Amino acid sequence: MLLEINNHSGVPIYRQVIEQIKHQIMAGQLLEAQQLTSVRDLAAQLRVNPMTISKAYAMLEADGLLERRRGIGLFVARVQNTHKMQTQTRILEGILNQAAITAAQFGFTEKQAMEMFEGLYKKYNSKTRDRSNE
Amino acid sequence: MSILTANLRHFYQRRGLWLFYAFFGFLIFASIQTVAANRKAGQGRFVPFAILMFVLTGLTAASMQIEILNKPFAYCLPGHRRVARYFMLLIGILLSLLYSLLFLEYPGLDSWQLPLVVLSALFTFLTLYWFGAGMLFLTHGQAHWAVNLALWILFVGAFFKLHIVIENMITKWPLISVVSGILSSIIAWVSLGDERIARRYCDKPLFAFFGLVNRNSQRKWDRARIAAKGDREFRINPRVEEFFLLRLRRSKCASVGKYIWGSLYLVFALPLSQGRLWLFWILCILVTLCLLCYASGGGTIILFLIPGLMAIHLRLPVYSTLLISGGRKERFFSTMVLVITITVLVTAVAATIAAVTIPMASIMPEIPLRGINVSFHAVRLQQLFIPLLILPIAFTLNLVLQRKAIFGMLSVILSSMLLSTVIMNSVFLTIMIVFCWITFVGVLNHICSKSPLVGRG
Amino acid sequence: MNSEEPIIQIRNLCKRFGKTTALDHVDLQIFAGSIIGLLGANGAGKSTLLRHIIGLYLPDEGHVVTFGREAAKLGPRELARIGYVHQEGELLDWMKVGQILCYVAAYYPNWNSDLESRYIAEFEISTEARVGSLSPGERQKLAILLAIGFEPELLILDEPASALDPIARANFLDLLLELIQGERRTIIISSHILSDVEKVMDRTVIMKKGRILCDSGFDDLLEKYCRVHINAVSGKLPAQLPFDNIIKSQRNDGQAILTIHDTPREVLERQGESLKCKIEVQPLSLEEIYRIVAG
Repeated sequence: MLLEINNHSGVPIYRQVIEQIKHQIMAGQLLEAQQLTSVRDLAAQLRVNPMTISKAYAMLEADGLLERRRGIGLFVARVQNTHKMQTQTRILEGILNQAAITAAQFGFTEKQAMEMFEGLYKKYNSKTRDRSNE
Repeated sequence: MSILTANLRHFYQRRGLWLFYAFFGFLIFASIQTVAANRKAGQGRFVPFAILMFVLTGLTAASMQIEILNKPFAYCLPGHRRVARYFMLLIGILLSLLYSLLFLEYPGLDSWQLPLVVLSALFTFLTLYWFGAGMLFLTHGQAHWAVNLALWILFVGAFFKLHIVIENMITKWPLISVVSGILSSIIAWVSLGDERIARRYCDKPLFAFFGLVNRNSQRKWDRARIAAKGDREFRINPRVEEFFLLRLRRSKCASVGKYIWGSLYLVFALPLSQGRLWLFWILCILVTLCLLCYASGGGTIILFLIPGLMAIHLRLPVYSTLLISGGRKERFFSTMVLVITITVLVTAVAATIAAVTIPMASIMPEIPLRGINVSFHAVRLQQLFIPLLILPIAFTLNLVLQRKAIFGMLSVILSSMLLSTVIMNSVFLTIMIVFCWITFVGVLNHICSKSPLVGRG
Repeated sequence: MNSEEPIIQIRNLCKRFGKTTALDHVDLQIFAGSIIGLLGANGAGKSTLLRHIIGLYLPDEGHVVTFGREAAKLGPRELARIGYVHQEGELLDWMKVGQILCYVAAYYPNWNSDLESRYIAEFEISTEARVGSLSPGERQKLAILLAIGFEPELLILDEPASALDPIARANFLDLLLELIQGERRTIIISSHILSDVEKVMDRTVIMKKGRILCDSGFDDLLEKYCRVHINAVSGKLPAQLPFDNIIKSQRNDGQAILTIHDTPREVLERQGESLKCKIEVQPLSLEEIYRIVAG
């Protein structure tokens, strides 16, 4: 599990941990039923206070993204599709919101903006990319 | 404000100086008193206190200047490096002028001679003043050596009746004194103007006159000495270390005994390890003993001073912040045991010495001194009570004046002077000793149970 | 976690030195297992407060109870669980580093020699040097080693890193984090170098003139304040912006920068959406927060 912490950004460290783990689960980089690094090890790895990590884990657990197996540790929980969808939508919306505002401020038309988005999307989506190669 | 006036402001801003003023006031008073008591020419009545005073003033003034040069910021302050000589010359001339007025009272002078003699006195005093200052610059600002050197020269001078020589010089050969005054001033002026002086003293660890008041500069000097001579003068004998550490480790955890062994270790490790230190002490004791026994009674004050000054400089475990694991109770008991141990040791040493002097009294020869035969007297047994009396006083002062070492020292000297003049019978003595010990235990108990154990920081 | 007994309990503590009031009705509870950052300008009363905890000072009013004992009655049993590093670190100048280590270690049955030798290697301490000849940075390293060598349950650090160079400082903070891993150790660290403490602390206490101005979880403190950048998409911003709890605001026709406290991010975003503007919510750095609280 690779995480990166910025000590001086002003964003609480536990939030940075939550955001990054959440993103990794949603993006499928952390798979269902995969075990997470223990609190101690992760704290040592990131050189942060272990209380911070356990706080982040607890909040992810409350959110239903992680589950605790007694005596073994924490695992990525099985997330219901609707819940997963909601979370993904929220994250994406947040990012697109900024893009939409900037586009409007800069005076791009809706069509121009959409074309730009489509182009970028095609570049990263593996299915469409594979199809264009065929 | 000019640099010179800024420097002059030290005279009232420095509280350490007020002690010197008191001392100088006493000297001036004493010289007027001696002259008033018996106005006789050619007996050296007019100058002995003046000699002491000007040598000391020279030392003090030079010490103040060196201390200013010692501050790193003074090096860069424009014009500061050269202000020392204006400052010193000004003080020297003013004081000499003031003091030379004493010679207006000199008997048997014609009216035309009088101003000449006063002028001659002025230049003589100026010479003495530069002599004192020179001592400090000769010893590179280390005040303890300078004072030592000056005292020895004065001591030898007193033996050869220097004060009479100086008085005769002032009254009979004014030309010599004027020439020496001008010459010494020129030498001082030129050498104080030397750029290298500022460089030499900038940020150098100094044992300064005022270091006794200023703990930081004292600590800096101590550390520099440890860094330079650590392996010679501060080596702890491995067997001594082993002896104490073994007992320290063996005593039960969290027991008072542990802290007692610890405090004994800190105080006795160095003296037990350093053979040279022993030699030095034995030599000191022998010299004082000879002085004491020949001076017969007049030297009692030394018996008070040696243990007293030793006790005032000891670091008692009460205020230790190195080891905070010792609670207030542990601090009380370890201090108590340490103080008792030291008292027993000192009394035992004193008893041994006293015992040795009894057979010595029959062997030691009489010494003819200025026509009087001085004989050796054994230490009286009654004087064995002295450490029992002065040690609790000094330790109490140590506890109370913990951060003001200079006042502690002065109080010890003062109480020694007082105690050595009072003649005590054994009942009074016993009461005094008991009273002093009760006071000490009371103060220690109060500090260990109620007051802060570190200074305000 | 707060259901258990605090290891340090300070109630209504007052301390005066002559005419100056060093501590003015201070209340503080400290529970095991956290790193507390004590912030404040010089003379705010940080050292005085810490010295009360180990009984070097006694309260004029109020109570200080450490490990269940009144400060005046603390004995070796409690104090041997506390490590203390302070500014005027008084060490025995005439000893060698190795000798002072042996001496201090003799007092603690649980002295960790492995930790000692590892620390000596890591911080490049020479055991043969005289304590009096050490540089200020080296002295501080030695003082730290003497305080952590017995792995105290409570470690009190009063400006511990002020004389250390940047790398030694980073190593030192790592060491603290290592100490706190696992066992329920507590560290109180006072500093005016904010970047030192912000890396490690989980609770923040800010003092000024003998009073505690703020005592909260570090994360809560960071989330308590935020800065909102508002940028009009087209035209002007309305004269009245729909935000509450504004500490500071700067604005012109098209833009506004607001510093806001105690408002959750979601609420801000909802309020902002009605404006149809570009809204960016940014966290404040510890330094900025410190200025707001103690400024």
